[in-house]
Amino acid sequence: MNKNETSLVEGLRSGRTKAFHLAVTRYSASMLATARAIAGHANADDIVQDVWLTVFERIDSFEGRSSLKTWLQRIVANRAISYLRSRPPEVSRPGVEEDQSASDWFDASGSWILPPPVWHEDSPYALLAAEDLQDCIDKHLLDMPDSQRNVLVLRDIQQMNFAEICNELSLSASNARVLLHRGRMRLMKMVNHFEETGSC
Amino acid sequence: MLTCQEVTAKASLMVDGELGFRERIAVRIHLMMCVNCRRFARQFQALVSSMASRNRLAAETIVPEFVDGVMQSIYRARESSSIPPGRDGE
Ligand SMILES: [Zn+2]
Repeated sequence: MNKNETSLVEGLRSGRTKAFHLAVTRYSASMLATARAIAGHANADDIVQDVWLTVFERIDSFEGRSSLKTWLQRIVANRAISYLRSRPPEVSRPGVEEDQSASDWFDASGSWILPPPVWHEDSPYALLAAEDLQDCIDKHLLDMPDSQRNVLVLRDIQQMNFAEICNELSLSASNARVLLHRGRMRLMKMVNHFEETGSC
Repeated sequence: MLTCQEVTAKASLMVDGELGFRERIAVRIHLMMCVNCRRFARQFQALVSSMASRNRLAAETIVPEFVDGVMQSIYRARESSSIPPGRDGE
């Protein structure tokens, strides 16, 4: 923790309104991004609001072993995951485990059968600006098996490091890497499909 | 010599900077010679980077109403909790 954060945590511990306002303003956006990615847009606000109440009540359990941001992200991820598990079965969408090996792209010698499709947008900025595409990514994130999505969200959206992710999700490093690569390949296939057909 | 399939299988290690020295050279040589894998690698990198920017983009668009809503619920929780008043002094 840096000095700035230490004094913020002290403020939270002593229940100062100012400290809470600062923390809520500073950290809510990335918490919302995590909650949205895991549990969907409709539920993210409630989840994050709920997490802040927990933080208000249990800031004493923050031991400062990770950064405050990481600690908050963990609580949000946990809360979003347990929210998903608590949904009634008819609403819940169990992730579909698809073949992510991409072996259908290659011939027996391991060469491309067809060249990978050219994307209309292939810069990160252009990809982000394509709203339909981003909606499609949201949809596919929700369709992923939880384990795949959680690794992908924590790593690629939240930029957490591997040690933290493995710790948080109780995964081995090699397992986490496999899940991450599968998740990314799944999104690659999705974008390929989107670029070729114009639909999700 | 790596095959195209092997190169795509290493794509995540590549963008995460986790390839060993020899692997990194082998991938680089393949990419120099293979237009298909070069395209794939560029798209893969762009997709992964765009995911990171989702978070940064979200960070710029936090709505004050959301912050207010959270603060209101914290005030309510404080009122109904045993936390004594007067802890707000700086
Ligand atoms: Zn190749």
